[in-house]
Amino acid sequence: MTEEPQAGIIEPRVEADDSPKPLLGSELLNPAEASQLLSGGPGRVVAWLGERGSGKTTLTARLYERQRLVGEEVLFAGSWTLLAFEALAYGRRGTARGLQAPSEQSPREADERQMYHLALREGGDRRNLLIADLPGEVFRALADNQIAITSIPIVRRADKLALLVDGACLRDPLRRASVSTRLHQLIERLAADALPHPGSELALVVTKWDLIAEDPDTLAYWQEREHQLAADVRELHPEAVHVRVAAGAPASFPQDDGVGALRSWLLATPGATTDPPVERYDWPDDAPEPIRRAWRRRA
Amino acid sequence: MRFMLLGEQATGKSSLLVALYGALVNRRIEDLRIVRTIDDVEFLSRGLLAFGRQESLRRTEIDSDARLLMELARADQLVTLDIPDRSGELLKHMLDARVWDSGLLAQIRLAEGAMLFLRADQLIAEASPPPPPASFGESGEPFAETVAVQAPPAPPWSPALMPADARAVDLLQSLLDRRSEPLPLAIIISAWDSVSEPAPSPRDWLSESVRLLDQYLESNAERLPHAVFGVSAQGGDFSSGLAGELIRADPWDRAYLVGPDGLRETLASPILWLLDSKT
Repeated sequence: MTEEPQAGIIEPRVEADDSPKPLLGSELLNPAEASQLLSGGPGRVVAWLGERGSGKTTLTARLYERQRLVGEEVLFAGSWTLLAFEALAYGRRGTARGLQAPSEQSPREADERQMYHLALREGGDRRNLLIADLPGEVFRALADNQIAITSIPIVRRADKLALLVDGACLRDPLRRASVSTRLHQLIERLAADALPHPGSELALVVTKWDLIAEDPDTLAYWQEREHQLAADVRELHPEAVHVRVAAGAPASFPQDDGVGALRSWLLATPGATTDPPVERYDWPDDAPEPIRRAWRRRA
Repeated sequence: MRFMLLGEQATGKSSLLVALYGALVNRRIEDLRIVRTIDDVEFLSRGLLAFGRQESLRRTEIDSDARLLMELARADQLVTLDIPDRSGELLKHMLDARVWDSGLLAQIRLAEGAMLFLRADQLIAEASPPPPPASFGESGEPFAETVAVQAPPAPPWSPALMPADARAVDLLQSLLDRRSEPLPLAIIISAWDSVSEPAPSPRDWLSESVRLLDQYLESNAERLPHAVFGVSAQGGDFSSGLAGELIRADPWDRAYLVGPDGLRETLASPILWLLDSKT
């Protein structure tokens, strides 16, 4: 039987040799694999821009775990990085059962595997979300002008750029002022490089919203600044959206966790999608050692 | 017709084969009749004896090459049924080691349909994890202080720790990665007697209780046309004892199957559905 390949589905692999055949989904994707997926159907390259601990990994994990736990119209359609999602979700499931988080795995040698893949189906349309998992130190270095955006091709390539505001940081009176500074530094760096490029989209994502919502002082602090910060982001991109997310909130949190809204934004069609390939990730030789170290740890 | 059995250990693959063989050989299935038994059926006879004694089956040995191979008549159609019963340990080892078993890979390329086995009671248990450990020292005794129990650390993650729904998705998408033809798939929810009454239809139960797999199947229905069946090959839980008329019933009469829409059907329904899917 001969059939046209379905959008977003890659034709089965054909290997003539007798070498061991790996199972799908064992590792994060490298740029070549991400490009292969993009060539097979509609895709969205997503980059979270936020410092270490701002909730990037939790957002990634929750996008997957929500599919397992909540029945909705958006359907899980597969993942080439299923095991990586499961590894992320595992620690959080254990914590919910009262176990201590598992100890971190030994760091691997740095490689280019940096992207999660989540295929979702909405109203018959299948879309591949390719989510870049970059260490937070990168964004601090970017904000501090230690590295250029050109050295992070995934940020230039992204269809969806999300600027993360760390709710836990807002709750800390000694650190909260840095939130606005970091956000404006990032906005300035993006603007200097004419990002986001036409066709890509921008969001201001407030993470750990549960920590803000349950503390009147933090809530008041944020409400006084939220409108202006959102307006500043819209200067960079007039259509920028603003999402509050409580991805790691306990089940008792009375509000919606916002992950559904974030997912809707990720799935929405950008103005123009040409699906160029994902470029290799090459640190410049003069990248600061702490960043290289952070990258090695994450990889 | 070559159909595969996919399932990890103790998911009911062999139990269904034994109960199905019992029903066929004792002529309990109107739509199918044995014309000729081609292969050794000693393991099936042994299984029926065990069910007669109200004992569960022993796990298929890891290197076992057991299979159901026979010619069946369906109306005026002659069907050769070939169902190898690969051990669940082999599949588990493959998923954990992340490398295809060459025998299974060859079967996947040749199969005209498959049955995927999941245990209802295992899925129910995974969906209801135990509560966090309680505090102790709250008894009011003198000098007692409220001390939280030191939570044990979770073991480091490995593929073996994935829940059953994620492992099923892992298997199916790896399978589609290696096969270009659509694969009709009968989802067999075994230990169906453990689903609380009033039991929903197997289709609705999967949708409500095993969401990740259900969504994956729905999203990939063109390549994985599927139907969901609930099966109790033993007819009940032997460990807690059978009740009432079940004690006197023969094993093939105790066993029962619920079709996708919740109605009782014969144990051959998944096979008939796979045959119809192929034609």
